[in-house]
Amino acid sequence: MWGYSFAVTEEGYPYSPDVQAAVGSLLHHGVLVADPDGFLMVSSGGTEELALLRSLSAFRERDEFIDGACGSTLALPTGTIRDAVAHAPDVRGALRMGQTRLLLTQSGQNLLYDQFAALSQAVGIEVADLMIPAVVWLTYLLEASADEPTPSHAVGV
Amino acid sequence: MMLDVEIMMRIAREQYVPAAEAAFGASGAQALRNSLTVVRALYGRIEPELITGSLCVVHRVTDGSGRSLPLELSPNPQRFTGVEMLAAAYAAPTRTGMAVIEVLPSGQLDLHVDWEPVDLADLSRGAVVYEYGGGGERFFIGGEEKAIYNPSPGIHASVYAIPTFRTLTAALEDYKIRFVSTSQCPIFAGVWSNETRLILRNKPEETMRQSLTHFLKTVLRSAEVRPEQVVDESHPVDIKVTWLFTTRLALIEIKWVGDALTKEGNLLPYRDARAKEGADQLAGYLDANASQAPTHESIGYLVVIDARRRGLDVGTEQLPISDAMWYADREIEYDPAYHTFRPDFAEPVRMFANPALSACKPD
Repeated sequence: MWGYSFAVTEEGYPYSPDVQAAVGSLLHHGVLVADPDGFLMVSSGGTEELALLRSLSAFRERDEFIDGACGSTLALPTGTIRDAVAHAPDVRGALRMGQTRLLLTQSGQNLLYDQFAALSQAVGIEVADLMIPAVVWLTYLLEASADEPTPSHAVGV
Repeated sequence: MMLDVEIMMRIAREQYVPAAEAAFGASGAQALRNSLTVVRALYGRIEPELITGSLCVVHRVTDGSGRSLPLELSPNPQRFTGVEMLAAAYAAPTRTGMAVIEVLPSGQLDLHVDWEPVDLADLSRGAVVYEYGGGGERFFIGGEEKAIYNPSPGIHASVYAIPTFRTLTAALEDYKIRFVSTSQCPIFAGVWSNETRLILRNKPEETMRQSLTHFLKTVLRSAEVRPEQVVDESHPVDIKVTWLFTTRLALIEIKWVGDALTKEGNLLPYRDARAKEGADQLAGYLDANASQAPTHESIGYLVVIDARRRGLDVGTEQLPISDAMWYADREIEYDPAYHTFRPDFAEPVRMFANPALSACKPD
Protein backbone atom coordinates (compact mmCIF):
# COMPACT_ATOMS: atom_id res chain seq x y z
CA MET A 1 0.00 0.00 0.00
CA TRP A 2 2.82 2.38 0.82
CA GLY A 3 5.11 0.93 -1.83
CA TYR A 4 7.86 -0.49 0.36
CA SER A 5 9.01 -3.98 -0.59
CA PHE A 6 9.93 -6.59 2.00
CA ALA A 7 11.68 -9.90 1.75
CA VAL A 8 12.73 -12.72 4.02
CA THR A 9 16.48 -12.92 3.97
CA GLU A 10 19.06 -15.48 5.00
CA GLU A 11 18.98 -13.97 8.46
CA GLY A 12 15.36 -15.01 8.77
CA TYR A 13 13.54 -11.75 9.37
CA PRO A 14 11.55 -9.48 7.09
CA TYR A 15 13.86 -6.91 5.55
CA SER A 16 13.12 -3.87 3.42
CA PRO A 17 15.85 -2.26 1.36
CA ASP A 18 13.64 0.84 1.15
CA VAL A 19 13.46 1.14 4.92
CA GLN A 20 17.15 0.38 5.25
CA ALA A 21 18.00 3.12 2.74
CA ALA A 22 15.74 5.56 4.57
CA VAL A 23 17.42 4.77 7.89
CA GLY A 24 20.80 5.38 6.30
CA SER A 25 19.68 8.70 4.93
CA LEU A 26 18.20 9.79 8.24
CA LEU A 27 21.43 8.89 10.01
CA HIS A 28 23.42 10.80 7.46
CA HIS A 29 21.31 13.90 7.97
CA GLY A 30 21.31 13.64 11.75
CA VAL A 31 17.58 13.00 12.02
CA LEU A 32 18.44 9.68 13.66
CA VAL A 33 21.45 9.13 15.87
CA ALA A 34 23.09 5.80 16.61
CA ASP A 35 24.51 5.09 20.06
CA PRO A 36 27.69 3.05 20.56
CA ASP A 37 25.69 -0.18 20.55
CA GLY A 38 24.10 0.72 17.25
CA PHE A 39 20.66 1.51 18.64
CA LEU A 40 18.86 4.36 16.96
CA MET A 41 17.33 7.42 18.61
CA VAL A 42 15.45 10.35 17.15
CA SER A 43 17.31 13.65 17.45
CA SER A 44 15.55 16.85 18.50
CA GLY A 45 15.62 17.95 14.90
CA GLY A 46 14.15 14.61 13.97
CA THR A 47 11.29 15.14 16.40
CA GLU A 48 10.47 18.44 14.77
CA GLU A 49 10.61 16.93 11.32
CA LEU A 50 8.36 14.09 12.41
CA ALA A 51 5.79 16.56 13.72
CA LEU A 52 5.86 18.34 10.39
CA LEU A 53 5.44 15.12 8.40
CA ARG A 54 2.55 14.05 10.59
CA SER A 55 0.75 17.29 9.84
CA LEU A 56 0.78 16.64 6.09
CA SER A 57 -2.37 15.03 4.75
CA ALA A 58 -0.34 12.62 2.63
CA PHE A 59 1.11 11.04 5.75
CA ARG A 60 -1.53 11.71 8.37
CA GLU A 61 -3.44 8.52 7.74
CA ARG A 62 -0.27 6.47 8.16
CA ASP A 63 -0.12 7.57 11.78
CA GLU A 64 -3.06 5.40 12.71
CA PHE A 65 -1.42 2.27 11.34
CA ILE A 66 2.06 2.97 12.68
CA ASP A 67 0.63 3.94 16.06
CA GLY A 68 -1.41 0.76 16.18
CA ALA A 69 1.50 -1.48 15.23
CA CYS A 70 3.91 0.20 17.64
CA GLY A 71 1.24 0.18 20.34
CA SER A 72 1.45 -3.58 20.40
CA THR A 73 4.79 -3.20 22.21
CA LEU A 74 2.82 -1.97 25.21
CA ALA A 75 1.15 -5.35 25.53
CA LEU A 76 3.85 -7.74 24.30
CA PRO A 77 7.65 -7.88 24.57
CA THR A 78 9.38 -6.93 21.32
CA GLY A 79 11.10 -10.31 21.16
CA THR A 80 7.74 -12.01 21.41
CA ILE A 81 6.37 -9.81 18.63
CA ARG A 82 9.28 -10.79 16.45
CA ASP A 83 8.63 -14.45 17.20
CA ALA A 84 4.98 -14.00 16.29
CA VAL A 85 5.80 -12.35 12.97
CA ALA A 86 7.99 -15.35 12.09
CA HIS A 87 4.77 -17.37 12.18
CA ALA A 88 2.84 -15.02 9.90
CA PRO A 89 1.68 -17.07 6.91
CA ASP A 90 3.76 -15.25 4.32
CA VAL A 91 6.93 -15.12 6.40
CA ARG A 92 6.59 -18.67 7.63
CA GLY A 93 6.28 -20.06 4.14
CA ALA A 94 9.36 -18.18 2.97
CA LEU A 95 11.41 -19.39 5.93
CA ARG A 96 10.39 -22.98 5.36
CA MET A 97 11.44 -22.77 1.71
CA GLY A 98 14.90 -21.74 2.87
CA GLN A 99 15.11 -19.00 0.28
CA THR A 100 15.38 -15.28 0.16
CA ARG A 101 11.92 -14.40 -1.04
CA LEU A 102 9.78 -11.38 -1.58
CA LEU A 103 6.94 -10.92 0.86
CA LEU A 104 3.50 -9.45 0.25
CA THR A 105 3.22 -10.84 -3.25
CA GLN A 106 -0.31 -11.52 -4.43
CA SER A 107 -0.30 -15.02 -2.98
CA GLY A 108 1.20 -13.74 0.27
CA GLN A 109 -1.43 -11.05 0.53
CA ASN A 110 -4.16 -13.61 -0.04
CA LEU A 111 -2.89 -15.61 2.94
CA LEU A 112 -2.89 -12.52 5.10
CA TYR A 113 -6.33 -11.43 3.95
CA ASP A 114 -7.74 -14.77 5.09
CA GLN A 115 -6.38 -14.14 8.56
CA PHE A 116 -7.47 -10.52 8.58
CA ALA A 117 -10.99 -11.53 7.58
CA ALA A 118 -11.09 -13.78 10.64
CA LEU A 119 -9.61 -10.95 12.68
CA SER A 120 -12.36 -8.59 11.53
CA GLN A 121 -14.88 -11.16 12.59
CA ALA A 122 -13.24 -11.45 16.00
CA VAL A 123 -12.73 -7.80 16.92
CA GLY A 124 -15.02 -5.99 14.51
CA ILE A 125 -14.17 -3.80 11.54
CA GLU A 126 -14.61 -0.40 13.13
CA VAL A 127 -12.04 -0.20 15.89
CA ALA A 128 -10.88 3.01 17.51
CA ASP A 129 -7.34 1.82 18.07
CA LEU A 130 -5.48 -0.45 15.67
CA MET A 131 -3.37 -1.66 18.56
CA ILE A 132 -6.31 -3.93 19.36
CA PRO A 133 -6.42 -6.04 16.19
CA ALA A 134 -2.61 -5.95 16.11
CA VAL A 135 -2.31 -7.52 19.56
CA VAL A 136 -5.09 -10.04 18.92
CA TRP A 137 -3.43 -11.11 15.67
CA LEU A 138 0.05 -11.40 17.21
CA THR A 139 -1.35 -13.36 20.16
CA TYR A 140 -3.18 -15.62 17.71
CA LEU A 141 0.04 -16.30 15.79
CA LEU A 142 1.79 -17.25 19.03
CA GLU A 143 -0.97 -19.47 20.36
CA ALA A 144 -1.76 -21.19 17.08
CA SER A 145 1.89 -22.12 16.59
CA ALA A 146 2.70 -22.92 20.22
CA ASP A 147 3.43 -26.58 19.51
CA GLU A 148 5.50 -25.90 16.45
CA PRO A 149 9.13 -24.85 16.28
CA THR A 150 9.84 -21.38 15.04
CA PRO A 151 10.47 -21.67 11.32
CA SER A 152 14.03 -20.88 10.37
CA HIS A 153 16.52 -21.12 7.58
CA ALA A 154 18.62 -24.20 8.21
CA VAL A 155 21.34 -22.94 5.95
CA GLY A 156 24.97 -22.09 6.26
CA VAL A 157 25.72 -18.83 7.96
CA MET B 1 -0.45 -23.64 9.98
CA MET B 2 -4.13 -23.79 9.13
CA LEU B 3 -6.21 -20.77 10.04
CA ASP B 4 -8.12 -21.52 13.23
CA VAL B 5 -10.89 -18.98 13.59
CA GLU B 6 -11.99 -20.41 16.92
CA ILE B 7 -8.65 -19.57 18.51
CA MET B 8 -8.86 -16.02 17.23
CA MET B 9 -12.43 -15.60 18.48
CA ARG B 10 -11.47 -16.95 21.89
CA ILE B 11 -8.53 -14.56 22.17
CA ALA B 12 -10.74 -11.61 21.23
CA ARG B 13 -13.29 -12.70 23.81
CA GLU B 14 -10.93 -13.46 26.71
CA GLN B 15 -8.04 -11.04 26.39
CA TYR B 16 -7.97 -7.62 27.97
CA VAL B 17 -6.84 -5.55 24.98
CA PRO B 18 -10.00 -5.90 22.91
CA ALA B 19 -12.11 -5.75 26.07
CA ALA B 20 -11.11 -2.16 26.78
CA GLU B 21 -12.62 -0.89 23.55
CA ALA B 22 -15.53 -3.30 23.63
CA ALA B 23 -16.54 -2.00 27.07
CA PHE B 24 -15.78 1.71 26.75
CA GLY B 25 -15.11 2.51 23.10
CA ALA B 26 -12.27 4.84 22.16
CA SER B 27 -12.02 6.13 25.73
CA GLY B 28 -11.37 2.60 26.92
CA ALA B 29 -8.65 2.03 24.36
CA GLN B 30 -6.94 5.26 25.39
CA ALA B 31 -7.30 4.44 29.08
CA LEU B 32 -5.70 1.07 28.43
CA ARG B 33 -2.77 2.66 26.59
CA ASN B 34 -2.24 5.13 29.42
CA SER B 35 -2.43 2.37 32.04
CA LEU B 36 0.04 0.14 30.23
CA THR B 37 2.45 3.04 29.85
CA VAL B 38 2.30 3.67 33.60
CA VAL B 39 2.69 -0.01 34.50
CA ARG B 40 5.70 -0.42 32.21
CA ALA B 41 7.33 2.74 33.49
CA LEU B 42 6.73 1.66 37.07
CA TYR B 43 8.23 -1.78 36.54
CA GLY B 44 11.26 -0.14 35.00
CA ARG B 45 11.91 1.22 38.48
CA ILE B 46 10.63 -1.45 40.85
CA GLU B 47 10.76 -5.21 40.60
CA PRO B 48 7.27 -6.68 40.71
CA GLU B 49 8.71 -9.72 42.47
CA LEU B 50 9.24 -7.46 45.49
CA ILE B 51 5.53 -6.68 45.74
CA THR B 52 4.26 -9.09 48.37
CA GLY B 53 0.88 -7.42 48.80
CA SER B 54 -0.99 -6.18 45.78
CA LEU B 55 -0.78 -3.23 43.46
CA CYS B 56 -3.56 -1.84 41.31
CA VAL B 57 -3.45 0.73 38.56
CA VAL B 58 -6.84 2.28 37.93
CA HIS B 59 -7.72 4.53 35.02
CA ARG B 60 -11.08 6.20 35.00
CA VAL B 61 -12.92 6.16 31.74
CA THR B 62 -14.49 9.36 30.50
CA ASP B 63 -18.10 9.36 29.40
CA GLY B 64 -17.31 11.20 26.16
CA SER B 65 -18.04 14.61 27.61
CA GLY B 66 -14.58 14.90 29.09
CA ARG B 67 -15.83 14.12 32.58
CA SER B 68 -14.67 11.05 34.41
CA LEU B 69 -16.88 8.75 36.33
CA PRO B 70 -16.21 9.48 40.02
CA LEU B 71 -13.90 7.22 41.96
CA GLU B 72 -13.19 7.78 45.65
CA LEU B 73 -10.49 5.35 46.57
CA SER B 74 -9.12 7.06 49.69
CA PRO B 75 -9.39 10.53 51.26
CA ASN B 76 -5.72 11.55 51.13
CA PRO B 77 -3.79 10.23 48.18
CA GLN B 78 -0.30 11.40 47.37
CA ARG B 79 -0.23 13.13 44.00
CA PHE B 80 2.67 12.87 41.55
CA THR B 81 3.37 14.32 38.17
CA GLY B 82 5.35 11.33 36.98
CA VAL B 83 6.16 7.68 37.59
CA GLU B 84 9.70 8.33 38.75
CA MET B 85 8.70 10.22 41.91
CA LEU B 86 5.83 7.84 42.55
CA ALA B 87 8.11 4.82 42.34
CA ALA B 88 10.40 6.37 44.96
CA ALA B 89 7.41 6.91 47.23
CA TYR B 90 6.10 3.41 46.63
CA ALA B 91 8.64 2.09 49.09
CA ALA B 92 9.19 -1.48 50.21
CA PRO B 93 6.97 -1.32 53.33
CA THR B 94 4.13 -0.12 51.14
CA ARG B 95 4.47 -3.10 48.92
CA THR B 96 3.40 -5.53 51.61
CA GLY B 97 -0.04 -4.02 51.66
CA MET B 98 -2.54 -3.06 49.03
CA ALA B 99 -1.81 0.06 47.05
CA VAL B 100 -3.63 1.71 44.20
CA ILE B 101 -2.27 4.08 41.60
CA GLU B 102 -4.99 6.14 39.97
CA VAL B 103 -4.19 7.57 36.56
CA LEU B 104 -5.97 10.92 36.35
CA PRO B 105 -7.27 12.59 33.18
CA SER B 106 -4.55 15.22 33.60
CA GLY B 107 -1.89 12.51 33.43
CA GLN B 108 -1.03 12.97 37.09
CA LEU B 109 -0.90 9.95 39.33
CA ASP B 110 -2.51 9.51 42.73
CA LEU B 111 -1.01 6.92 45.07
CA HIS B 112 -3.48 5.49 47.58
CA VAL B 113 -1.92 3.37 50.31
CA ASP B 114 -4.69 3.53 52.88
CA TRP B 115 -7.74 2.49 51.01
CA GLU B 116 -10.68 0.31 51.66
CA PRO B 117 -10.41 -2.59 49.25
CA VAL B 118 -13.30 -2.82 46.90
CA ASP B 119 -14.42 -5.43 44.47
CA LEU B 120 -12.19 -4.79 41.47
CA ALA B 121 -14.68 -6.19 39.01
CA ASP B 122 -17.24 -3.68 40.30
CA LEU B 123 -14.66 -0.89 40.17
CA SER B 124 -13.95 -1.78 36.56
CA ARG B 125 -17.50 -0.94 35.49
CA GLY B 126 -16.22 2.61 35.13
CA ALA B 127 -12.52 2.09 34.81
CA VAL B 128 -9.72 0.01 33.37
CA VAL B 129 -8.18 -1.81 36.35
CA TYR B 130 -4.84 -3.61 36.44
CA GLU B 131 -3.95 -5.75 39.42
CA TYR B 132 -0.67 -7.41 40.34
CA GLY B 133 -0.92 -9.72 43.31
CA GLY B 134 -1.72 -13.22 44.46
CA GLY B 135 1.14 -14.56 42.37
CA GLY B 136 -0.12 -13.15 39.11
CA GLU B 137 -1.52 -10.20 37.22
CA ARG B 138 -4.80 -9.50 35.54
CA PHE B 139 -7.07 -6.81 34.18
CA PHE B 140 -10.63 -6.01 35.17
CA ILE B 141 -12.57 -4.23 32.46
CA GLY B 142 -16.25 -3.51 32.19
CA GLY B 143 -17.07 -5.63 35.22
CA GLU B 144 -15.13 -8.71 34.14
CA GLU B 145 -11.74 -10.23 34.81
CA LYS B 146 -9.66 -10.54 31.66
CA ALA B 147 -6.60 -12.63 30.92
CA ILE B 148 -3.13 -11.29 30.17
CA TYR B 149 -1.10 -13.23 27.64
CA ASN B 150 2.34 -13.99 29.06
CA PRO B 151 4.84 -15.64 26.70
CA SER B 152 7.00 -16.67 29.64
CA PRO B 153 4.67 -17.89 32.38
CA GLY B 154 6.52 -18.88 35.52
CA ILE B 155 9.66 -17.13 34.34
CA HIS B 156 8.91 -13.45 34.60
CA ALA B 157 6.58 -12.12 37.28
CA SER B 158 4.96 -9.68 34.88
CA VAL B 159 4.79 -9.54 31.11
CA TYR B 160 5.34 -5.79 31.51
CA ALA B 161 8.59 -6.31 33.43
CA ILE B 162 10.41 -8.59 31.05
CA PRO B 163 13.86 -7.05 30.80
CA THR B 164 15.37 -6.23 27.48
CA PHE B 165 19.10 -6.41 27.06
CA ARG B 166 21.22 -4.53 24.61
CA THR B 167 24.02 -7.05 24.72
CA LEU B 168 24.12 -10.81 24.66
CA THR B 169 26.64 -10.83 27.49
CA ALA B 170 24.22 -9.02 29.79
CA ALA B 171 21.40 -11.34 28.78
CA LEU B 172 23.48 -14.45 29.46
CA GLU B 173 24.47 -13.10 32.86
CA ASP B 174 20.81 -12.55 33.75
CA TYR B 175 19.89 -16.02 32.54
CA LYS B 176 22.67 -17.52 34.63
CA ILE B 177 21.68 -15.76 37.84
CA ARG B 178 17.90 -15.74 37.60
CA PHE B 179 17.09 -18.97 35.86
CA VAL B 180 19.89 -21.54 35.79
CA SER B 181 21.13 -21.10 39.34
CA THR B 182 17.64 -21.72 40.75
CA SER B 183 16.17 -23.77 37.88
CA GLN B 184 13.39 -21.19 37.95
CA CYS B 185 12.69 -21.46 34.24
CA PRO B 186 9.94 -24.10 33.80
CA ILE B 187 11.64 -25.27 30.62
CA PHE B 188 15.10 -25.55 32.23
CA ALA B 189 13.60 -27.31 35.24
CA GLY B 190 12.95 -30.23 32.92
CA VAL B 191 16.67 -31.09 32.67
CA TRP B 192 16.68 -32.83 36.05
CA SER B 193 16.01 -36.52 36.71
CA ASN B 194 14.04 -35.60 39.84
CA GLU B 195 13.27 -32.75 42.21
CA THR B 196 16.58 -33.06 44.10
CA ARG B 197 18.37 -31.42 41.15
CA LEU B 198 21.42 -33.56 41.81
CA ILE B 199 21.40 -35.65 38.64
CA LEU B 200 20.46 -34.60 35.13
CA ARG B 201 18.09 -36.67 33.09
CA ASN B 202 19.13 -38.52 29.96
CA LYS B 203 20.14 -36.18 27.10
CA PRO B 204 19.21 -32.84 28.62
CA GLU B 205 20.85 -30.86 25.80
CA GLU B 206 17.73 -30.11 23.80
CA THR B 207 15.87 -28.84 26.84
CA MET B 208 18.77 -26.58 27.72
CA ARG B 209 18.80 -25.21 24.19
CA GLN B 210 15.03 -24.64 24.22
CA SER B 211 15.25 -22.81 27.53
CA LEU B 212 18.03 -20.46 26.47
CA THR B 213 16.50 -19.89 23.03
CA HIS B 214 13.15 -18.97 24.55
CA PHE B 215 14.80 -16.63 27.04
CA LEU B 216 16.95 -14.83 24.48
CA LYS B 217 14.05 -14.43 22.05
CA THR B 218 12.09 -12.65 24.72
CA VAL B 219 14.76 -10.36 26.17
CA LEU B 220 17.12 -9.37 23.37
CA ARG B 221 16.42 -6.10 21.62
CA SER B 222 16.49 -6.03 17.87
CA ALA B 223 17.87 -9.54 17.49
CA GLU B 224 16.79 -12.73 15.79
CA VAL B 225 17.44 -15.89 17.78
CA ARG B 226 17.44 -19.18 15.90
CA PRO B 227 18.18 -22.63 17.35
CA GLU B 228 20.23 -25.34 15.63
CA GLN B 229 21.73 -23.45 12.77
CA VAL B 230 23.97 -25.39 10.41
CA VAL B 231 27.44 -23.92 10.22
CA ASP B 232 29.45 -26.78 8.86
CA GLU B 233 28.81 -30.38 7.90
CA SER B 234 29.63 -31.76 11.32
CA HIS B 235 27.04 -30.37 13.68
CA PRO B 236 24.67 -27.44 13.91
CA VAL B 237 25.63 -24.71 16.37
CA ASP B 238 23.11 -24.58 19.19
CA ILE B 239 21.91 -21.01 18.79
CA LYS B 240 22.57 -18.26 16.28
CA VAL B 241 21.79 -14.64 17.09
CA THR B 242 21.72 -11.91 14.47
CA TRP B 243 21.05 -8.22 15.04
CA LEU B 244 18.84 -6.16 12.77
CA PHE B 245 20.47 -3.61 10.46
CA THR B 246 23.96 -4.71 11.49
CA THR B 247 26.48 -7.30 10.43
CA ARG B 248 26.82 -8.63 13.97
CA LEU B 249 26.28 -12.28 14.56
CA ALA B 250 26.74 -14.55 17.57
CA LEU B 251 27.14 -18.31 17.65
CA ILE B 252 26.28 -19.94 20.98
CA GLU B 253 27.42 -23.45 21.80
CA ILE B 254 25.94 -25.06 24.92
CA LYS B 255 27.68 -27.82 26.83
CA TRP B 256 26.73 -29.37 30.14
CA VAL B 257 28.98 -30.86 32.77
CA GLY B 258 27.70 -33.01 35.60
CA ASP B 259 26.11 -36.45 35.87
CA ALA B 260 23.20 -37.61 33.73
CA LEU B 261 21.06 -40.67 34.25
CA THR B 262 21.26 -42.94 31.21
CA LYS B 263 18.45 -45.10 29.85
CA GLU B 264 20.15 -48.07 31.43
CA GLY B 265 20.00 -46.39 34.83
CA ASN B 266 23.71 -45.61 35.10
CA LEU B 267 25.38 -42.30 35.69
CA LEU B 268 27.11 -40.65 32.73
CA PRO B 269 29.65 -38.17 34.07
CA TYR B 270 30.85 -35.23 32.02
CA ARG B 271 33.57 -33.04 33.43
CA ASP B 272 36.00 -30.37 32.28
CA ALA B 273 36.99 -32.22 29.11
CA ARG B 274 33.46 -31.81 27.82
CA ALA B 275 33.60 -28.07 28.21
CA LYS B 276 36.98 -27.93 26.51
CA GLU B 277 35.60 -30.01 23.66
CA GLY B 278 32.87 -27.41 23.33
CA ALA B 279 35.46 -24.66 23.07
CA ASP B 280 37.26 -26.54 20.28
CA GLN B 281 33.94 -27.09 18.53
CA LEU B 282 33.00 -23.44 18.76
CA ALA B 283 36.40 -22.36 17.43
CA GLY B 284 35.77 -24.64 14.45
CA TYR B 285 32.33 -23.08 13.86
CA LEU B 286 33.84 -19.63 13.93
CA ASP B 287 36.46 -20.64 11.39
CA ALA B 288 33.77 -22.08 9.11
CA ASN B 289 31.62 -19.01 9.58
CA ALA B 290 34.48 -16.68 8.72
CA SER B 291 34.84 -18.27 5.32
CA GLN B 292 31.13 -18.52 4.57
CA ALA B 293 30.11 -15.10 5.85
CA PRO B 294 33.23 -12.95 5.73
CA THR B 295 31.30 -9.68 5.91
CA HIS B 296 29.76 -10.55 9.27
CA GLU B 297 31.28 -9.57 12.60
CA SER B 298 30.94 -12.88 14.45
CA ILE B 299 31.46 -13.68 18.12
CA GLY B 300 31.34 -17.14 19.63
CA TYR B 301 29.91 -17.80 23.10
CA LEU B 302 30.47 -21.04 24.96
CA VAL B 303 27.78 -21.57 27.61
CA VAL B 304 28.57 -24.33 30.10
CA ILE B 305 25.69 -25.53 32.27
CA ASP B 306 27.44 -26.79 35.37
CA ALA B 307 25.57 -29.49 37.28
CA ARG B 308 28.63 -31.11 38.83
CA ARG B 309 28.32 -32.59 42.31
CA ARG B 310 30.89 -34.51 44.37
CA GLY B 311 30.29 -38.02 45.62
CA LEU B 312 27.18 -38.87 43.59
CA ASP B 313 25.85 -42.37 43.08
CA VAL B 314 22.79 -43.59 41.26
CA GLY B 315 19.86 -43.07 43.59
CA THR B 316 21.56 -40.40 45.74
CA GLU B 317 18.82 -38.28 47.25
CA GLN B 318 20.93 -36.14 49.57
CA LEU B 319 24.50 -34.97 49.78
CA PRO B 320 26.45 -33.10 52.41
CA ILE B 321 26.16 -29.48 51.43
CA SER B 322 29.89 -29.14 50.86
CA ASP B 323 29.73 -31.97 48.30
CA ALA B 324 26.57 -30.67 46.66
CA MET B 325 28.15 -27.23 46.25
CA TRP B 326 31.73 -28.41 45.72
CA TYR B 327 31.91 -27.07 42.18
CA ALA B 328 29.88 -23.90 42.73
CA ASP B 329 32.95 -21.66 42.49
CA ARG B 330 35.31 -23.97 40.63
CA GLU B 331 36.03 -22.50 37.25
CA ILE B 332 37.03 -24.61 34.28
CA GLU B 333 40.45 -23.94 32.83
CA TYR B 334 40.67 -24.00 29.09
CA ASP B 335 43.72 -24.97 27.08
CA PRO B 336 43.87 -23.49 24.55
CA ALA B 337 42.13 -20.49 26.10
CA TYR B 338 40.67 -19.21 22.86
CA HIS B 339 39.10 -16.20 24.55
CA THR B 340 42.53 -14.85 25.44
CA PHE B 341 43.83 -14.64 21.89
CA ARG B 342 40.85 -14.82 19.52
CA PRO B 343 38.90 -11.55 19.27
CA ASP B 344 35.94 -13.53 17.94
CA PHE B 345 35.76 -15.81 20.98
CA ALA B 346 34.07 -14.43 24.12
CA GLU B 347 35.01 -15.59 27.59
CA PRO B 348 33.12 -18.85 28.29
CA VAL B 349 30.15 -18.45 30.62
CA ARG B 350 29.80 -21.12 33.27
CA MET B 351 26.36 -21.33 34.83
CA PHE B 352 26.24 -23.36 38.04
CA ALA B 353 22.84 -24.94 38.65
CA ASN B 354 22.20 -25.26 42.38
CA PRO B 355 20.82 -28.45 43.82
CA ALA B 356 17.53 -28.33 45.70
CA LEU B 357 17.89 -27.25 49.33
CA SER B 358 16.15 -30.42 50.39
CA ALA B 359 18.90 -32.43 48.73
CA CYS B 360 21.56 -30.85 50.94
CA LYS B 361 22.28 -32.02 54.46
CA PRO B 362 24.67 -30.57 57.02
CA ASP B 363 28.29 -31.69 56.69
